[in-house]
Amino acid sequence: MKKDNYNVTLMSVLTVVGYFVGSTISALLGQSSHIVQLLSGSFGAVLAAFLHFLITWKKRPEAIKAMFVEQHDERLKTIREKAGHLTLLLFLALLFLMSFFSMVQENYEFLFFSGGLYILLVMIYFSLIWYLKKVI
Amino acid sequence: MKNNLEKLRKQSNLSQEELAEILKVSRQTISSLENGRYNPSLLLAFKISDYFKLPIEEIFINEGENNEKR
Repeated sequence: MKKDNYNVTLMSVLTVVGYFVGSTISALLGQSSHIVQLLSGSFGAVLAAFLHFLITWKKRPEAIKAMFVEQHDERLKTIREKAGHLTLLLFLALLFLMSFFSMVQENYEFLFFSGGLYILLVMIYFSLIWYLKKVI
Repeated sequence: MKNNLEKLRKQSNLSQEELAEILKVSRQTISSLENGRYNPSLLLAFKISDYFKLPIEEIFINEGENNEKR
């Protein structure tokens, strides 16, 4: 299992490296447009992840199988849901603090931005709860 | 919730990894179930009961809400 975790970490690192390599190559080829650099970076990231996936599939197919099992494992799904929920709550708390301090410092641009984002996220959160209560 | 999973697994001469593969979950899930840290979904509980050919209530023992860990 440790080797499988290492595999996922390696894939993530390769994806980031692929992104930087892709965007650097497009910049070196004279593409000054940020969108083109972003697209070629994303292409590099996908290509790196895909190549890593193919090599692992050939060399250690059991690692891919373990990865899929982990993806559908109900305990890990619960953990991911809880982690996602807690991250959102922390993010909301951070936004609230940002709004409060920007109000204290009378930075109204920042107050409207952080306050607006806070209200929007809270609205999305409760709308999703309302919707999911209906469908689940 | 308590369970007899570890006892049943050992009686069947299975390792945690082997049981995990049969039930299509990770080895850590089996370990968490055996330690009582994680309560399985109804689907997983049925899979376990089907595999060991025992009713669910003979594998999982409900100790009441006050003793729930999660």
